[in-house]
Amino acid sequence: MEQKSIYRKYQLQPGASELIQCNTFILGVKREKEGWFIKIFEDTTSAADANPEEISSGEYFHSGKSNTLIIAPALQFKPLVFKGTKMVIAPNQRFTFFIQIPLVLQLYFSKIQEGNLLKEIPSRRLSDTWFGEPDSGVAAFSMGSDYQLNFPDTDISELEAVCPVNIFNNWDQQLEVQRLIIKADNMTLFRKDNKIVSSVVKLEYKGQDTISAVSYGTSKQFHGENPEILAKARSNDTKSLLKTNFHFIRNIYNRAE
Amino acid sequence: MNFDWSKYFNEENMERLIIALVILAVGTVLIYAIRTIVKRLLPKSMSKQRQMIVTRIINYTGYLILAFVIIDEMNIDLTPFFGAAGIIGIVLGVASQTSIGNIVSGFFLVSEKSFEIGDVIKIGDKSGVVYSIDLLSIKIKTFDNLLLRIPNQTVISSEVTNVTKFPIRRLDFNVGVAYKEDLKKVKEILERVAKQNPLCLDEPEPLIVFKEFGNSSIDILLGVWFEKTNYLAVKNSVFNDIKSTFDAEGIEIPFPHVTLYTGEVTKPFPIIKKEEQPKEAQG
Repeated sequence: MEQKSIYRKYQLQPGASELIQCNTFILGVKREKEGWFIKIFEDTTSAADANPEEISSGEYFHSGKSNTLIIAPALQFKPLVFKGTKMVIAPNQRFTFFIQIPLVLQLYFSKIQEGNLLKEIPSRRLSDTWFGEPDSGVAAFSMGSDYQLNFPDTDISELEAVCPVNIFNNWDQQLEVQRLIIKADNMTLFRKDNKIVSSVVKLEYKGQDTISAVSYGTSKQFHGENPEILAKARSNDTKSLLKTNFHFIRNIYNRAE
Repeated sequence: MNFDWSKYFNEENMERLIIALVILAVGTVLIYAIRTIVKRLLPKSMSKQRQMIVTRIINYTGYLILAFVIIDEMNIDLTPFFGAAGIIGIVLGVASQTSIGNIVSGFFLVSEKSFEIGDVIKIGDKSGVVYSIDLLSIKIKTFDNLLLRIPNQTVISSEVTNVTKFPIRRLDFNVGVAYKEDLKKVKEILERVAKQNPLCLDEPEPLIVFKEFGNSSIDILLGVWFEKTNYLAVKNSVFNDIKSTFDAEGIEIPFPHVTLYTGEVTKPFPIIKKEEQPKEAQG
């Protein structure tokens, strides 16, 4: 029997509750006459270990008479920083690799629209990090350094999205990717077969003294002919895209005063 | 003495006084309205401090113009005032030396921009959130919710630390471990504590420094970076994590030991633990 996706509509009558398994926690939702109780049971991976009676001790959202709750996927609200370890791109070479991004669960009542968002719950808490200099950088989440050279063939968890990254080194020297920022709020989520795929990050590196060009778009190769949009980009503001995309770490942080 | 009040309180002057009062009322409303409109038109990205300066300039200019208009309307001859201005100036100058010093210092403070409204600052042993920067003083709201007034002159001549100027900070923990502990293991544990706490930034990387061989312990500094808004959460969680991980890993956090000797050749005082007898047994 095929396992039901976490991203769907849940119809709950007043008094009914549901325990939804998600990574390292259980999400408990309980319908009241005109609202919802939402509780996260931390460090619990089995619904049997969570007591539905305890859901009422969670947060209460007064949302009206609709008995419909929708869970939808979204990307993180902060940028993501990929840490390249010994990743070098030769001059005038194009390199594509894939990283897996943990998704955020968005809980809506009635239907998916901005005003109906009850809560956002990250499926996995990513560690905070900083991209850039300590006095002028950007707060971000750390993505670690894991990547794949090929688009994943096997099924991946629906709590993660595949993010294709394409870097063109348009410079006459080698590019050592130390830190790369991915502005997740400018990216869209698509469904391809059984996978969730984010926009393709297309980067052109033009040297350390020139701002690199970046765009987030679709590709037939990774999204198919008519890609199904699962979640639109949180922001359409492309001004932030013009900022630095690469950061080259110098050993300046660890000075003990 | 027969003073002729009618010279001042006559129909003409009363009419002027009424007009002046009307001008004062209308002028005050007008200044208030202009201030409100300008405040709304100011870009949201403008800092609170700059907004405050703009509104104050409108206030001071507006009331100055209003004063001149009223003086003119009242037909007051300012010549005698200007004649006495020299003497008044000296008297006021002597009397308001400190205030003028504070005002001048205030201008330097604003132009220097070492801190702005909303920043957390430390001056001497006092610290808190900058509440307002006024003509004569700055007001600080301390963390126990007291309002502290510091004259601008004092601020200018003191060392001021702006704690929240930059978006990220480093928090240092001084950790002492027993001499018997394996320092390599201790370092790994501290690295793990920082790495596993999601509020500690991965980058800049945590700093671990073996500081010194202390009286009772080997002292180590653990510095973790964090976003400035998470100060309390980081301080409490890292503190807890260090203690619980050390306990779990059997790392001893020593405290000062004192051994008493009765003399050069004697052994230390023996310590005998006496078991307390139950009450029934004693009876």
